[in-house]
Amino acid sequence: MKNPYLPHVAVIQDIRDEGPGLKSFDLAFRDGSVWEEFRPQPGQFVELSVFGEGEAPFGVATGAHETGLLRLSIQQVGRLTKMLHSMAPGDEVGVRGPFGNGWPLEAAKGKNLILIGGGIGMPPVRSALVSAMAEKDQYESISLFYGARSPEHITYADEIEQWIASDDAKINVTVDVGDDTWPGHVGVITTLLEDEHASPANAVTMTCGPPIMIHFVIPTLTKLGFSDDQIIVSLEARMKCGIGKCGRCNLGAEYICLDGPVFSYDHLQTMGIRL
Amino acid sequence: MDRLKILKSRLPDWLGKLRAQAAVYAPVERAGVTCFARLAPGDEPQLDYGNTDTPLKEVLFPQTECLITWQRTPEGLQVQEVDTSEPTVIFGARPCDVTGLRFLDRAFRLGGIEDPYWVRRRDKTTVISLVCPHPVPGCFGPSAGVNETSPEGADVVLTDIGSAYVVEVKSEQGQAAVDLASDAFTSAAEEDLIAAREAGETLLAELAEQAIDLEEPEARAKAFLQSPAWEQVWNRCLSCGICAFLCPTCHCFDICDQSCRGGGERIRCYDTCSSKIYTKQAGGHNARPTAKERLTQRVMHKFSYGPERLGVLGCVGCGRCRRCPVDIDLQLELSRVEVKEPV
Ligand SMILES: Cc1cc2nc3c(=O)[nH]c(=O)nc-3n(C[C@H](O)[C@H](O)[C@H](O)COP(=O)(O)OP(=O)(O)OC[C@H]3O[C@@H](n4cnc5c(N)ncnc54)[C@H](O)[C@@H]3O)c2cc1C
Ligand code: SF4
Ligand code: SF4
Ligand code: FES
Repeated sequence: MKNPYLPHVAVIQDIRDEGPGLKSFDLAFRDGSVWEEFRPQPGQFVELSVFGEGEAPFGVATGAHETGLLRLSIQQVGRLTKMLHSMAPGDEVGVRGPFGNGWPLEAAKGKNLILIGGGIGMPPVRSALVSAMAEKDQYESISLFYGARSPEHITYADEIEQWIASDDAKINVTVDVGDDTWPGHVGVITTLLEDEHASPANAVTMTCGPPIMIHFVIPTLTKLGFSDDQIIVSLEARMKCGIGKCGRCNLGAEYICLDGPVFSYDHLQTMGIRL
Repeated sequence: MDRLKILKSRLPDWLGKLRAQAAVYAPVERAGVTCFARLAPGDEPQLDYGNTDTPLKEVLFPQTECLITWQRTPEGLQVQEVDTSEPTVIFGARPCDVTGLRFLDRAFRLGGIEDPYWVRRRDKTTVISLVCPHPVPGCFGPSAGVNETSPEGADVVLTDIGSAYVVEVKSEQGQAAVDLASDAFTSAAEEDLIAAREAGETLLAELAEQAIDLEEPEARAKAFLQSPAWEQVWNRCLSCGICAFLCPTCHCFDICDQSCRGGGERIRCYDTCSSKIYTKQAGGHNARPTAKERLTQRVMHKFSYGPERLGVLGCVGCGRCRRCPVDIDLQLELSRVEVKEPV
């Protein structure tokens, strides 16, 4: 019987600083053949083991077309993440998954895809963005709205430069608080959406960010004319098992880890969930 | 099928045969607590008990269990799964606890991903249930839909008729358990069957006096959470989790690591939605910050979310959660609310 609690051993290949307290880790399975069955979809997450410290869920930043390396971008906030930040290339960790439903990218084809990310919500948004850009002809358009706390908090800064240069997607970045070097938009993400006149015409939005961001983004989208089924959000919760058994992420009759983390807002409304 | 009976004096023979084939778990008293424990040779089960203090689920979903182990070796990390499942017989379980297994069975199997630790144990387990001779005080099994004389999920059901038990075999697995000691069983006579039926009828009549109204569970739960009584209830809750740990259907757990020289174990242990830190996330956000949200989760999971997802009520009426240190009796409170007709 396949055991969903049994992690695959993975080796850290590369670690990059992404901003204050944030690092990206590229992992390769020690047994390379694992990737074929693993193949994470954009919007899914994994349970990462630091043996001796435990496990924690992290969104997959890797795009659907990027094979072989699993990228996670991890903020140091507590015990496991601290341990992880002290590790080096060559060190071994455990990975199980991928879990969750992922973004409904297939259904977004032919539409204006609007990705909205904030703070530590960027890894799954990156995954959706690069996956969509790799098939950009299939979408009417692709745009990213990204809000960071300050210029130094911008995740994937180098890549963002490339995305802007590539013209495959319209990239909009804002910072809550600017500095002398920042030429771009200043203000929280909701002001960016309004200032750029994000349009609901033939569009679907996909949002991932901290609960407080989602709380403010939804009414802004509604005000801009988006209907509830055009608002797709990825929710976070404290998780342990990742497979709908431990009960922790229970939301109504569903489990965020199993039935989500991606939900459409109209579905959440029918469940009576307020965000 | 022909009904059988077994004299109480022949029970040790049967248990001996079962123990030769399987790990037999039966009610015993350990340090003043009745619980299901594995019988060692010579151990006598305690069958004149009300209900065990701790729930039957412990046999198949232990309070703590090791999921995987790891070792650091020169070739790198070696990770191994642990499988301690073995042929098992549960002997003498009360109908409510047996019915509780049904909720857990669905929780651990459904949803697309199975929990291998539960499934492996459950699939190797034969359940022999023992009908209560008299109601356990505080039990309201029939109000929670429990079949008190022939519970769903049991392979064999025993009904006490004095010097013997009348035996109902409910499955092939149950038949196999009986066949192991076929000479210990005799055909039940007409008067034995009448005695068993009367025992059941008496039990149900006595239980009717302890019945509470849990009809329309979902509407009832919602009405309760809007009622004035609700404020009094959640304000008292200590968030201690006793109600969850004692409940035969609660299945929340935590997973954590224990290291020892060069390796370690990953353990899962019971957890509870009552716990203050259960849903506390990194960064400090807590989806259920007070006892109000946490106890709402308990009420709704048992009476609305669980039934919606798994098709069965999350309460089997065992009454164990009435051991709440501040006397919160959720089911009694629920039974008292007026459920308005939907308009
Ligand atoms: C689907 C999903 C995707 C995610 N994706 C990402 C991602 O891509 N990148 C990322 O960086 N993060 C992500 N997270 C968040 C990540 O899982 C957490 O940051 C991580 O679990 C923290 O682990 P830790 O051991 O370092 O923190 P912990 O040591 O568990 O503690 C962190 C915080 O938890 C609380 N806490 C824990 N234990 C206690 C206690 N005993 N008492 C009181 N408070 C306590 C405290 O607030 C503490 O500050 C994701 C989460 C989910 C659910
Ligand atoms: S046993 Fe009582 S006090 Fe403890 S968590 Fe349950 S309801 Fe609250
Ligand atoms: S909720 Fe209480 S009465 Fe119902 S099954 Fe659980 S412990 Fe027993
Ligand atoms: S993380 Fe265990 S149920 Fe979702």
